[in-house]
Amino acid sequence: MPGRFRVISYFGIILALYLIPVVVRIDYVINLLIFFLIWSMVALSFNLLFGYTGLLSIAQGGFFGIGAYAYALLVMKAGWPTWPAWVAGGIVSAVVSLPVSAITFKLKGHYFAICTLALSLIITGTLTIWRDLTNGSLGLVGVPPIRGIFLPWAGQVSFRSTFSFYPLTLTIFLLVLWVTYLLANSKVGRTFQAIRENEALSSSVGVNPNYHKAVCFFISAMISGLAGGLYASYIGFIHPMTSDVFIGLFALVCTVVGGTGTILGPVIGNLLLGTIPEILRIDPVVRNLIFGIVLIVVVRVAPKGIMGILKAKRQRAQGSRRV
Amino acid sequence: MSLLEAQGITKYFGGLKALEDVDFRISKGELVSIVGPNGSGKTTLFNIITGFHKPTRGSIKFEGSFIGGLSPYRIARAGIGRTFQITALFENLSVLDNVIVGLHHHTTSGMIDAVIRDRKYCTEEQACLEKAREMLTFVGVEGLESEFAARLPSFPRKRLAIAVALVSRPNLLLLDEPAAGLNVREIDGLAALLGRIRESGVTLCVIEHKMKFVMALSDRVMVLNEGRKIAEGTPGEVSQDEKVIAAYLGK
Repeated sequence: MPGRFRVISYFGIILALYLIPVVVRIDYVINLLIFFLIWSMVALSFNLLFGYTGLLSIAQGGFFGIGAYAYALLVMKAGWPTWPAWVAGGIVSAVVSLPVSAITFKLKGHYFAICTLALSLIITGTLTIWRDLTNGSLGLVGVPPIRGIFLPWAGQVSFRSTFSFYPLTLTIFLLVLWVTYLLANSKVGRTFQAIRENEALSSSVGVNPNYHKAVCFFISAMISGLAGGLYASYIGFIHPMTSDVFIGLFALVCTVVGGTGTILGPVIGNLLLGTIPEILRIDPVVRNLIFGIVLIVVVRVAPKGIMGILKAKRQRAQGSRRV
Repeated sequence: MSLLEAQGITKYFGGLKALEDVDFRISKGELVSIVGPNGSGKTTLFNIITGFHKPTRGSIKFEGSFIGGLSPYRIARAGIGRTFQITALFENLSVLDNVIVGLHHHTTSGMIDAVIRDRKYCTEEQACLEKAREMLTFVGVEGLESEFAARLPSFPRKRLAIAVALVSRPNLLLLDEPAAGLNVREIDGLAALLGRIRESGVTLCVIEHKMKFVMALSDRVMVLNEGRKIAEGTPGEVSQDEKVIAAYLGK
């Protein structure tokens, strides 16, 4: 019964993840996990776009920043309740993706990547210059955390402490992961992949490639934006570097190292390149150097990343068992 | 009744005249072949009919409505299918998924249906699966369902490419050099497949270099040379035409 065993082990892993803050009472570790989950969401959104539809977006950091700023501004300046502001942040990010889709999908080649790079820089620039709204490079201080909710079995839960914010982040992360999985393994994911594999052929059987690319970019931008809102709510302080282009590039490195076009690849990549260097306290400059080298090695040696290596191993094992 | 009617098709790539004033029609149920030396504009004509190139001048009418200048996916939905000269497949998808993608525009369930896996989506996916399997049996690619398309040998690749195009239920199917690179026995197999496709009610238009194959199969042959139509008629007529002989053999 490998099917049932697998389901049980998944539930076991999820339960264990939820129980971590009960067992580990170290603020630092939980803090690390929250950031791991938030950056993983950005990597997942990058992978949905690059791994499935084949569009290389460097603007995920920009969308992350828009989500964070939209949340903060709607709550602080417009007086919105926190939850609607968080959702609105995701939607604003997604809407920003639309003009880029309209401009770039008529062009072939690398224009999409170039355009998203420009977009990311424009977003950071705008957030820096538009002082009246964003407070410029001083950033916004005292962003209120997302409001607590009432759970029937646990009573009123607030998300003010690291320990209570962790389950919230984990829940949203698992939802994003699940939706990504469902999308990728459905008709939609299949169509995305068909466009990645051969756009001309897919349009010759009646698939509208530009529509699907725009939809994928929209969803991906929304996930990044929601992650950004969560970040702003958790950390309580944002500045233009919250939309740094490096966030998007980091998502790229995580995805490629973990396994492009696999569900868990970006998460594993992030664990390896985000969380472990953080635990080891490696200097950020040295870290970037390591990313560069790792990226080159992975692309040369194992273009399908860690998940690709694992899959090949499993297939080889099955093959030898059959013989 | 003519299914496709192209008039005065002209295509310039900058200063290069790829096609010059080509008139062309296909009637329902026919098998028309387009022949001509390399660079005579055959594939360009296909690309114009299917919307991958915009004609510089000229109009194309399909089933009574003008389709010139529409995007490729719209023309595909209108009922014109095609294969590509260099066999195009979704290389990193399974053979079955390749065919299912071909069914895309006949499905109606949306993205939300796909995420929540409602009954509509599930029945539709099941129906797609069955149709795709039927199609694979029809073209003769069986037992390879879960193989990646990239791992198929050349003849099954060609059959699969035809399956992908055919499963989207076109009324007119354009085949760009289906027999290229096949050996004699495989060509016989292909001819039989084209016969079956015709019987199922699909009109065919074929670009081909292998003259024996063309002569045996076609109702009508059109000959292009240097972007112009130099002859049209039954295989017998065309093979006697002086201009055709000159173009192929040199005077």
